[in-house]
Parts: sequence; structure tokens; C-alpha cells
Amino acid sequence: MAETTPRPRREREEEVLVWPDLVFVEFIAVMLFSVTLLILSTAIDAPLLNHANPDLTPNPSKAPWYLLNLQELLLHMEAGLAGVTVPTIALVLLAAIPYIDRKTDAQGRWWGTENSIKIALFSWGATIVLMWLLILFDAGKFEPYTRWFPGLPDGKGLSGLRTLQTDWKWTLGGLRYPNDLTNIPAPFGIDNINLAGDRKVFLYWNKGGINLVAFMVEQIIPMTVIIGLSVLLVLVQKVFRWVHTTRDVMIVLFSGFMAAFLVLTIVGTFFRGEGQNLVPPWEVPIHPHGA
Amino acid sequence: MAVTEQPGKPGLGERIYALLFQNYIWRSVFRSGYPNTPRNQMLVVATNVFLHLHPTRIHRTHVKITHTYCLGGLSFFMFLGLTVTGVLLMFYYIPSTETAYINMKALETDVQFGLLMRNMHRWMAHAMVILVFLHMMRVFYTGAYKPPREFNWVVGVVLLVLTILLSFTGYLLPWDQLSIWAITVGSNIAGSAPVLGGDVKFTLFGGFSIGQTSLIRFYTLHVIALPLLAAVFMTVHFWRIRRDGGMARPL
Repeated sequence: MAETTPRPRREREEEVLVWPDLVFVEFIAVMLFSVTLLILSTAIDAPLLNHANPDLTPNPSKAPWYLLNLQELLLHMEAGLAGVTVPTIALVLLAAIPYIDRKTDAQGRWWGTENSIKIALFSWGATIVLMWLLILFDAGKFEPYTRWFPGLPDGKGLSGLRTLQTDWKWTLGGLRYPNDLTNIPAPFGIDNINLAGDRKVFLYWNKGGINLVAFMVEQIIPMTVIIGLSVLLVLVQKVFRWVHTTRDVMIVLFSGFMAAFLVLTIVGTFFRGEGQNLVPPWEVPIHPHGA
Repeated sequence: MAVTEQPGKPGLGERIYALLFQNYIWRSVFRSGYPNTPRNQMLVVATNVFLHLHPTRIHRTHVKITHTYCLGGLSFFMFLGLTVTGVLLMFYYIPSTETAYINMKALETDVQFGLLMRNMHRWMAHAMVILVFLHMMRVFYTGAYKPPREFNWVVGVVLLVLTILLSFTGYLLPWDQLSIWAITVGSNIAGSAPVLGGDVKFTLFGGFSIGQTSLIRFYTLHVIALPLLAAVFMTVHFWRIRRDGGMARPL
């Protein structure tokens, strides 16, 4: 007997009318939000501190919360890199997602590919852990456990990336680190080309020479860590045989980006006290000194 | 002779209904009849300028709350709410370093519902930033950025940036310690840009440090320039959803 298949339902039969089905849902959502926000507004007042005083800097001074991720990043690398270059690249890559992942499959439903839930959960989880480890490292929390690191003064460990610039000393052949690398004469004796005013072409090119050590600590290593960990996150899940398509790679990177963004925002908001020191949330002043 | 069924006399309910919704004035405002039949339900969406952001029919999976959580629509609702509360606040606010702070104090003490309006404006601003992020995550994880919707994703990224800029420019206006120092820190971040940093900061502040020139710049951006720009991009965003074939569906 010939196999019979049920007639697939026509697209038209799967449709519902926007009024009332969608408009009703929207109405409920709007009402829920209006009521919740109204209750919040009666319960919690917007802050208004003392009159602005440009001569009195509050400690800590913080940007609005959605920029605290950048302010947090600023503590770990060169300001221009953290505050402008990295976010600009991130935004451009974000906008470029549909031009990289052009396949039309797996669209219009949650997750879409075979392993996408696993991938997203792993990427979020791993990134959150990694970000915390990096932040704790740069706050010097691993100093007691890194005293084995060669080239440091006796009894001292790595209290962050900066240690490589301040306390790290070694010689290799005739090369003495860091002294030989902080003031490398520019080729042909040319000076850093100053455009108008203070606009330097290369930030680490001071009068007399180039500071390669600062460049390494403030730019090369942070950039390498960002790119390296992103690549590693993809590769690890390729080894797990979870990642197959471009869509999967996008899920890894997007999830990692959002997780990093979230951790940076939370640390910047709830864990940075006076002097931008890493402290538990209850030690972060709500009304900072001076405000 | 065949007997044909005659309609009965209209009852009281039907007569009231006709009086209310089928009179000359009502029909001049709402072209479609009361939306109690499928025909009128489609007409009411198609002939109303606000409702016609929607199509008249939609696939049943898209009405399920768990598919979108209404995040995009709610972001837009926040924009509308911020416009309303923002206009009300504008009646009481003078963008001058002399008066701004006093205006804010007056809002708390002298103006009926002034503090409530300010609180609503602030909470909605926070909510909008969060909702826009969540909306972006929903669109990403449902793969709704894929062709033919690539460009609308880009428009969405622009709207995300505009949302943050709108919130950022509004932050300075109370002219208290919180606002000027948050903006100082934020602008210093922008000012650290390679090569162009100094110019960016000078342009934002209208000078070398934060003052009256900065306040009027932030105010103008906040209440007119950025909202208009956001409105333009939102128009494109919503238009493109419809032009690109409605919400994304599995192929």
C-alpha cells in the first residue's frame, strides 16, 4: 500500500489576525511595563547629589553604568585602546555578523543549529570565568602564587600585568630588559611626527626614542589576550566537535562578547571602590566621597 | 411560493451599537467598522496609521510571547514614554549652569508630580538601554539577522549606539556632582582616542573643560538632534521589517 502523508498545512492557514492576537499581547506587555515602572518610580527616587563642582573630584568617579565596561577595561590596558579602539572594532564586527554568516538556514527560530544551546552556555560560562580570572590577576590577587616567576625580585610575584613593566628584569646575551627597550632610538634619527599640537602618530614614541616595554604591556599583550582567548574559545569547541558551521562560530563569539561585556559592566559597577580598587560590593560607596 | 427567512427586528443592543459605532462622526474618524468581524479586524490594522506598522496577518509562531518577548516593541514604547516624560520635564528645565540644578530641586519640591516625571524618565531610560541589548540578543539567538535582513541588523546596531548616546547626553543635564563627573569620565574615555581624541573631547565640551558650552551641546543633542536621528533610523528599522518579508521564519 502506498504510504500516505498528511497534506502540509498551507502557510495561510498558519496565520492569525494581528487584531486581536498580536495587539492584545502588545497591550498586556505595555501595561505590565507601565505599571512596573510607575511603581519603581514611586519607590525609588532618581539621585540628585550636591551642585556640580569642577574643583572637587569624587572618589571614585564613575561614568554612567552602561559605559563602566569601558572604564573597567581602561584599568587593564592603554586608555585609547580600551576606550575607543576595542569598542569601535567590537561594534564594527557586531554590525558585520550577517555579512560573515550569510547562510539562510537556522533562521527564525531559537538556537537553530544542533549544538547551539550547548555552545552558547559553554561560551557564556567559560568567558565569565576567564574574565574574572583576568580581573583578579590584574588586581594582584594571584601575587602569592606567582613568586616562582623568573626575573622578579625575591619574594615578589606578579601583581598584575604592570609588574612586567615595573619589576621584571633579565639579561639575555647582551640585552638588558627593560632598560635597553624603553628608549630605542628611532631609525635615521627621525623624531615622532607631531601633527598639530599633541597628536602623536605613535603613542610610545617620546623625545629621544621608542618605549617598547610600555607598548608591549599596554597594547600588545592585552590585544593578544583578547584575540587569543576568542580564537581559543572557538577552537576548544571545535575539538569538542560542537562547532560545525559559521553560525556556530558566530554563536561562540557573540556569546563570549556579551558575557565579557556583562562581567566588565558588573565589576565596574559593583566591585570598584575608592581609587578604582577591586572591593566587595558593600564597600563601594553609593555616595562617593566628594559628591 | 417559497418562504424566505426575513431578518428579525434589531434589538436594543444592536440599536445602541449602531448609534455608537455606525454614526456619521464615528465613521469619519475610523473608516473601518468596529473590529468584531475578521474583515473589520484587518481593516482596522490596515487603515490606522499607528496600527499599520503591523501587517494584518501574522504567522502563529510569532504571536507566541516566548518567540520575541516583545523586546523590540517595548524598546520603542520606552522611546515614546521617554518623549512624553521628556517633553513634560522640558517645561521646567533651563539648560544653564546657573539654573539647571535649581530647576532639578524645584522639580522635587515645587512641581506637582515633578519628581515622579523625572523618576519615570530615568527608569525608562535604564529600561530602554537594557531592552535594546536584550532585543539584540533575541534577534541574534533566533538567527533573525540572516539574509535578507542583513541591513536591518546594521540599522539595529546604529540604534543601539544612538540609545546609549541619548542616555549619555541626558546624564549631564541635572548638573550635580554625579552628572558632571560621570560625563567627565565618559568624555575622557572618548578623548583617549588615538590621534583624534583631543578634538573629540573639545567638540563634546565646546571647550577644554566642562561648562556652559558643554551643557547646551548635551541639551540640544539630548532633546532634539539625537531623538530626531533615532526616529529616522527607527522608521527605516520598522519599514525594513515589513519590506524584508516580516519577521524571520525557518525556510
